[in-house]
Amino acid sequence: MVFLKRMVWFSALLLLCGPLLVQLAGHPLGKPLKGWQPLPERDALSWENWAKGNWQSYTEEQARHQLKARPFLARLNNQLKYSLFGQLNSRHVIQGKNGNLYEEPYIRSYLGMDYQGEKSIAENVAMLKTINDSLEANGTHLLFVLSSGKASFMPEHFPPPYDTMAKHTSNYETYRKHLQQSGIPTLDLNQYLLDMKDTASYKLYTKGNTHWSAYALYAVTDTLLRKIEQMLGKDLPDYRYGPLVVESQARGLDDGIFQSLNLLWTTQKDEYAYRDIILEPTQLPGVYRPRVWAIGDSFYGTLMDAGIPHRFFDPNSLFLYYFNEVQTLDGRTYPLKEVEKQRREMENQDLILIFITEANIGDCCWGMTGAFHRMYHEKE
Amino acid sequence: MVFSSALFVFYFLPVFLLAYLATPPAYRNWTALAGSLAFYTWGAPIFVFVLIASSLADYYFARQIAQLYDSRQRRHWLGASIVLNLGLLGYFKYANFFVENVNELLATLGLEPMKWMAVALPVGISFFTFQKLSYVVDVYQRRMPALQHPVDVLLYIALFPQLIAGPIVRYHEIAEQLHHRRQNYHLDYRINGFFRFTIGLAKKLFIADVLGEAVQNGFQPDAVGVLSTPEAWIILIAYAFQIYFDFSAYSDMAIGLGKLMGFDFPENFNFPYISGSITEFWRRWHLTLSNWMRDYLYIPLGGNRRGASRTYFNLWMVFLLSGLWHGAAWSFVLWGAYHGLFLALERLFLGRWLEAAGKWISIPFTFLVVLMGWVFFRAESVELARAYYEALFSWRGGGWSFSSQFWFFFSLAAVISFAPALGGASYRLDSVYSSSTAPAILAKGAGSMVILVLCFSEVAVSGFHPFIYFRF
Repeated sequence: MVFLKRMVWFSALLLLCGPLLVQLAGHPLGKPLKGWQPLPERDALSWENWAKGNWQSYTEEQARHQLKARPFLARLNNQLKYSLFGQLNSRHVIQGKNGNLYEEPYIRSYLGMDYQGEKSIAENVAMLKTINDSLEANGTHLLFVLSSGKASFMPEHFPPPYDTMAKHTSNYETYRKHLQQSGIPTLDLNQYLLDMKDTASYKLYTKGNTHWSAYALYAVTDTLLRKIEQMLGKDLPDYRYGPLVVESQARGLDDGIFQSLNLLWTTQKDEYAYRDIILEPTQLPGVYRPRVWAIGDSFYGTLMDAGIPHRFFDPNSLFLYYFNEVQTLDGRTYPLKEVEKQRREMENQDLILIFITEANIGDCCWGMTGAFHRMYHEKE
Repeated sequence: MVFSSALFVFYFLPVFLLAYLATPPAYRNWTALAGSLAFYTWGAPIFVFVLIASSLADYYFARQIAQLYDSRQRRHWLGASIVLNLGLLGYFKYANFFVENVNELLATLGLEPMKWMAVALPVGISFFTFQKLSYVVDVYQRRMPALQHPVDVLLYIALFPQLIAGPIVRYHEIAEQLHHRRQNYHLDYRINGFFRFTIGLAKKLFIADVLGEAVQNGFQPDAVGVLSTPEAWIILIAYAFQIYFDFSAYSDMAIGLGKLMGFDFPENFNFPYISGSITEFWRRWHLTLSNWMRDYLYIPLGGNRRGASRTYFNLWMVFLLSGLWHGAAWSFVLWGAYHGLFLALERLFLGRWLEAAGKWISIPFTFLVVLMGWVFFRAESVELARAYYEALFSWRGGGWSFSSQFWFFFSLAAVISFAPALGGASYRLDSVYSSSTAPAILAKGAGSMVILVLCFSEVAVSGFHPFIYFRF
């Protein structure tokens, strides 16, 4: 019995020292956490920082944050709260019926809870119209893409209390109306996917992602490219699809918000359909690729992740993420600065794409409208 | 440093414990003192000098008292210690409160306010001041001899498990253990200590902090006005559980850590919410404060030996000061006075009525009285307390919205708090905590390890949640 007690005590002591030993070993325990942000460097140790306790507070926070055992422990914690209480430890993520995850702003936007009002939207669209006309006069096209939203696509799976809330006019609906009236070239991918909802062979939205599925991405890519060809009056590179593969586990970010929950069991079974987009090799040299600036949110990011702009657009094309950060096709990122000075560069583009989803359309278009409008206003 | 912080759990505790266990028993006091001073210095880098200097002064005063036979001279040194300790407590804890009130008075008289720079409160001062007084008074009363070495006095005052928030260990309870605790250096004792520590950590992280989140939201000044009456009651009951599980968690961890070091600290709680009267409540809640108040205040004031009216006055005074000890605010004074009033009423007639009514009436009634008192305790001002009472009794309609996690831990807290009432009021958790039969030790060891992993997982993700009693 003494031996058993000794075993218990040494096991307990070992467990107590476990995280410290992992720390000393220097290898993180478990898969890295999604969305993990390193803390900024702490201030140098000084008497003032020490006496006020600032240095200690920061060190304590850092001790928690930089714990090598943290990935495993955080995932264990999240898993327990998820499995026992259905609690999701990811900002804005809520679980709807049948295990469908939603980001709350999408639902609120769909229900019209963040409605900006018709007047404000009409004014914004009027500014977009001015920008569109000015760009057109310089030979640059503008295409406004209303990308999809999971809330619009599948409101039947909303969790309480949203499932019983009345739907009111949304920003998306009013924008669509005014865009159509204004004559600004518009592509409504939201409606396009809704039209396919009952006939699509595979899921257009999976349970664990806020973005469209890989399968839907192929469909919207096809539609987008045809629209661009039609607008520019030029052929883009031809392509074909590789064989379709259906898997039960997601590739890449196809269960993105499920992954953001940072659970211990990191796969969510669903139906994921994949195929490759293959460019026709005969057309590769000298084929036309438009110069494109895409101002958009993460839905355009899914096209970037799938390499669509890389295959069909000019290599110098840019993605202006939230009109805040520039992403190049060769993988560089840098902050967007002094956009007013870049008018000439903008006018050198063949196409300006505005790619915005229902949850973000209330912020349309992250200061771009005003900035571009000012450019042309000053020009006049 | 908070016991439930990552720094303490993942770094300080394992390093300290390994160092302590690796130190030969004859030198462990040195390791304990070094760890304790490091612990306090981390959180109070300036005030550690106050702690050390005043402890050394008390070492000197107690030495003088022990060496002298002249009662006048002995009283002189005792008086010096009391003035020093209460002076420090008064300055650091009550000066701001005093100046605020004087300024309010001056303002009503149309006079200029006093200029005053707010004084920061050294963490744990209420607790270690009482221990310092206990040391000198016990020596004065010749209950225990004075310590021979200043390191021993510092260790008694600054021992980190109980330095910040108790239990308030009276000197005579621990004097022997400062030098003779080898009998406690065995596996059963350590495993019991480990178990006790993990139970405390779990109580803090999984019950007190979860309930505390809802309480925090409910007691916001702008939220109180819109609380529905059912919501206000649920939040108040949640607060009753939060404060109990938060404070008793700290005590559990302190007692557990003490055991890991071979010390035997006194119990601080014994299922207070199954009390059938306020008198009983104070025999079950913060026992070490009640004992200190009895030994060093109530009895010196005359206790119950000077007639009924003086007894009531003494009781009331003890609780008024007990309220003030908790915090320099009128709401704490009112809370103390409120409890003192019920103690006096119980001596007069209420105690007999409650006893005759039986536990099914007396326990809910006492809990209700305690709940009403907690409003004063939690509200940051008398105005907020008034607004909360309004929410409780205005019969404002509306529902509530609490997470399933809240309800789970709320129910668990209720079961743990009240279940012992079914098994008789004499039920004591001590038997569970200290049982050393082989199966019990193995079960506690295995259980502790599972609980510790769960606690680790919570510590790794949760932010800074100080203990409620830290601010006292």
